[in-house]
Amino acid sequence: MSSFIDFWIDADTSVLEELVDYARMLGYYILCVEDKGFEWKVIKKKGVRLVKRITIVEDSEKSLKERLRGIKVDYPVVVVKPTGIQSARLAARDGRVDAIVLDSESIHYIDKTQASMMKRSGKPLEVPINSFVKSSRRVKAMIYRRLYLFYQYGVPVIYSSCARDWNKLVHPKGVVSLIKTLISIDYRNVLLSLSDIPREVLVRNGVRV
Amino acid sequence: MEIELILSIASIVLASIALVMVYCYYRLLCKRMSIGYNRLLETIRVLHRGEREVLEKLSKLRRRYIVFTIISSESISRQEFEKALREKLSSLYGVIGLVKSDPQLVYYEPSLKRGVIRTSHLMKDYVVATLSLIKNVNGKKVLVVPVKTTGTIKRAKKILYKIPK
Repeated sequence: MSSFIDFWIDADTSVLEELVDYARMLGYYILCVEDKGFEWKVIKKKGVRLVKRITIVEDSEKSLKERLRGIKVDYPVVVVKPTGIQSARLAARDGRVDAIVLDSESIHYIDKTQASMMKRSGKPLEVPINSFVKSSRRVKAMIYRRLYLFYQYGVPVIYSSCARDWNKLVHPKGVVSLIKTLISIDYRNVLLSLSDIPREVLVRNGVRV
Repeated sequence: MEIELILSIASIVLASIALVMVYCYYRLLCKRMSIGYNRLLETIRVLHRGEREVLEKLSKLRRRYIVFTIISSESISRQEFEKALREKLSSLYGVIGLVKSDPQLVYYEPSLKRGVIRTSHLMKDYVVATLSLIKNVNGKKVLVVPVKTTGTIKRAKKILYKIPK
């Protein structure tokens, strides 16, 4: 039964077809694909809905504001990876931003204040699993502490694969087991992060699911 | 004469009072000691019981069989997969995690690229998480899908052959 959403696929057009096949096999029915010059916003391929998304990497408030201007016309899903404290705070406040990425580059700007701001605006935190697994032990520990904090604050969390190739996809069972062993939380909470929370984001942006 | 008599009576009275006091003190001391001794005995008993309970809990390790399938265009041998699994588990959860879970590839069908891994019920999630994070086996691109976890190998084998190709 397909009921899961992979919120971040970073694959090129050449491997996308193959990746869609495997994603459907794993139980994903919606994939948010990083824009590589696609002409479509939402498309259905082999029973899987592909949604175009953009990840903005910015460090200053001014440049982020400029990038966000009119962005919702072209992209249904807009995610920010803040590399500065100002952009992190703006991303938490701005209604055009759908989620904020937590990885080795943005980890230093995601703190308690950020968590409380994101809780207030109901903005989800996105954790790419492959980026977490690849990172060093120190960064892994930092990500673990942030995740724990965000769960304490009650901020919604989305897990994505950030797959660049078909073999980088992660099975939903694997994600649930990994998070269960990492943070002792109920598996239902993790399942929500793979299905309901990303679905809410997509519905809010007018994507038919 | 009278004074001597009075003195002797007074000394006898004093001596008897002292004896009674010593006896009372002795009784009190004995009582306290016995209470302390009983408490000590009770504590030892509780500790011993607790230890026994812990031992009983430790002895209940149940086996779990994880059915998995490998998606890859190239052939994967049993040894290659086992090595990759142990390396990944060790890098994710460390040596202690590897020792505690001790994943054993009890059954592997190279033609179908499917198999069964045995582990303990406590470490089942660790092995499932590791399986889904294996991306390369000896330089070959793979995607491992943990299909089902069961309590018996008989049922695991049944599931293994039921999975559609």
